[in-house]
Amino acid sequence: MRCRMLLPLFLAFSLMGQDIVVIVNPESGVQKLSQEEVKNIFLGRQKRISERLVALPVEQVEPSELRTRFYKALVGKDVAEINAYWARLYFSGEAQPPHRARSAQEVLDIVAANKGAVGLVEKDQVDRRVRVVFWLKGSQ
Amino acid sequence: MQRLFIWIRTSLVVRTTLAVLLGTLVMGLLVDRIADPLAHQIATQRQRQTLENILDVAEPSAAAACFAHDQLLARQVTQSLVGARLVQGAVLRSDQQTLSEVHRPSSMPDSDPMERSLKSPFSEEISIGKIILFPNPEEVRKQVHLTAYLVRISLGAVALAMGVALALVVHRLVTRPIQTLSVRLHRLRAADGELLVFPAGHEEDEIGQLVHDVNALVGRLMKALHQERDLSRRVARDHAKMKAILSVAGAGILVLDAEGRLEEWNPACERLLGLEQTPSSLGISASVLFGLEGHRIEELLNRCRESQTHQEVTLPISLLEEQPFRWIQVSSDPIGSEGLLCILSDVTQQQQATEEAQAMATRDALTGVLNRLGADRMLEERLASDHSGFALLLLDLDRFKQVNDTYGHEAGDLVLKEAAHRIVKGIRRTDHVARLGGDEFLVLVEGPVPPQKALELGNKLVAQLSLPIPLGATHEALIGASIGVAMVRPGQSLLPKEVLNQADQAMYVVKQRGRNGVALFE
Repeated sequence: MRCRMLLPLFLAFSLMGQDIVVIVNPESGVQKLSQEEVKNIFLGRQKRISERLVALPVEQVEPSELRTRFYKALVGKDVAEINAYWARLYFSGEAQPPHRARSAQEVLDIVAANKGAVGLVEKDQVDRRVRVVFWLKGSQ
Repeated sequence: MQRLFIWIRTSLVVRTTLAVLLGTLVMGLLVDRIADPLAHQIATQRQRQTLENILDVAEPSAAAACFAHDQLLARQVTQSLVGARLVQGAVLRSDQQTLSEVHRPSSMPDSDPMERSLKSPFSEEISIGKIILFPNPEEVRKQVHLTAYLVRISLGAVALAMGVALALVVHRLVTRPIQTLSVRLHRLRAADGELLVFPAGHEEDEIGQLVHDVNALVGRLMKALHQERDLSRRVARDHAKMKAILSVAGAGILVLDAEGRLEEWNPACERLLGLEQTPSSLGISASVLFGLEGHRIEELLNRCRESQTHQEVTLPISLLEEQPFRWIQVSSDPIGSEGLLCILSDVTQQQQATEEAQAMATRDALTGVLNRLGADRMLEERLASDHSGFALLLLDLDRFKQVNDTYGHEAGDLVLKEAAHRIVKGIRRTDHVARLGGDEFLVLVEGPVPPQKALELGNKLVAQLSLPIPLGATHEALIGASIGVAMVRPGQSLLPKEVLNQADQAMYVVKQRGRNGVALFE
């Protein structure tokens, strides 16, 4: 019964694109992250994910619409503004923008390899090597 | 300098212009007083605005720096801020720490800082820090001065322009028309009825009203002048008429002032009083003109003045040697409260006529001596007052009847006339003779007189009357006289008829004795 109800939902969702989730390395010690924390990490405000670990945010920049969706859902801003923000910091400051990965696979690889990494992928790209710590609602 | 003050006092144009300029100057000074605080306020406002603008520009970077706790960016932001001339110091603070603080070295103390709270770039409700700016006071001061200078200049220029404009307007609308008016008024020949002309364009305002009023005044003046002239002419005419009347008047007319001195007189006066038509006669006292009778004139004038009524007196005048003795009637009337009018009439004829009439009444037509009436009057007069005594001789002509019968009435008249003549000659000039009627005569010898003398006189008269009286060439009449004498002592009061009675009784005694004699009443 549940499967029959989920199927049209699934179809609908798959037409729009999938929700984005935030993943971390299973050995990071992080179980969950709040939206605020995700925001702060990806925007350079929060520099550690835990006491021991320095944060390493990883974006998936291809397809570009993923990034757009992510930030739109996360902070409600266009990527242009995010880019402008990082441009300021990059030229004059010491903070670094998130690492750019060109595919979901790359994201997964990096997260799996680094304990402090925090990545974003579409939901169904997630594999067993990573842990989902946040589900970004409304990011389809 | 003196001339300058005079110029100021006498020129309306100068005064109004100076007043306006002075007003402008005062305004300018007031402006100056408010310029500084005003400029200060404006400059400060502008500075704040500039700082706000600077903050607007720096805000995104500052917010980013705060958000990311990025000290490097923070320092860059603050340093670039301090690079502005207007900014003395800048501080960037996140909610946890001061990310950067930069100040320019300055000897002046910090002025009030301007703060702005920084919001998270990604959620506008959350405040993540603040940025503080310290303005450069030196720069503020410079700005204030500049602004004040500009304010002064502009307000001053405006005030000056307004002042000049005002001066021009006042000059055009008020001062010049008034000046024009003043000049025209000065030249106005009001006495000719010339009217004042309106300055152009001011027919209906207050200046026009002034012109109207001036012209109305001129109109009234002209009317009054005409009335005066008419009155003058009438007065002159009346005066001429008066003079004409006076000059032909038969009566003398004198106008005297309050003290009785001559003011005016007519030609008749000259004739009557011998007054000369010379100015020297003017002002002499009227009483002088009347010679010996002057005191009576004084009395007349006084009576007239006091009673303020018509008064008259008749005086005998004999002023000049060649002028005959004449009677002048002087009447006096008061003229208002000062001055007197005297009318002089020559009443000589009337007086003479009166005297003649009187004389006729009391004189015997035939002999010329007093008649009965005259004798009675005389006796009454003598006995009335405190007299000095007299003798009364009652005289009868003897044999008169015979003469009358013999020679006729005409002869009788002749005899009477001669008898009277002889009696008159026989007595003193101060004594009186009267013919009582028929052949009876009366002689009054003024006294006091001793009886002896009276008797002597009586005898003398008898002797005289006994002499023959010629009647024509051929005849003569012989008469005699019987005389009775009555004596009246001084102060003795008797009735006239009593005295006559006494004399009559004495005469009767003489007639009894045989006539032609004198007897004294005892």
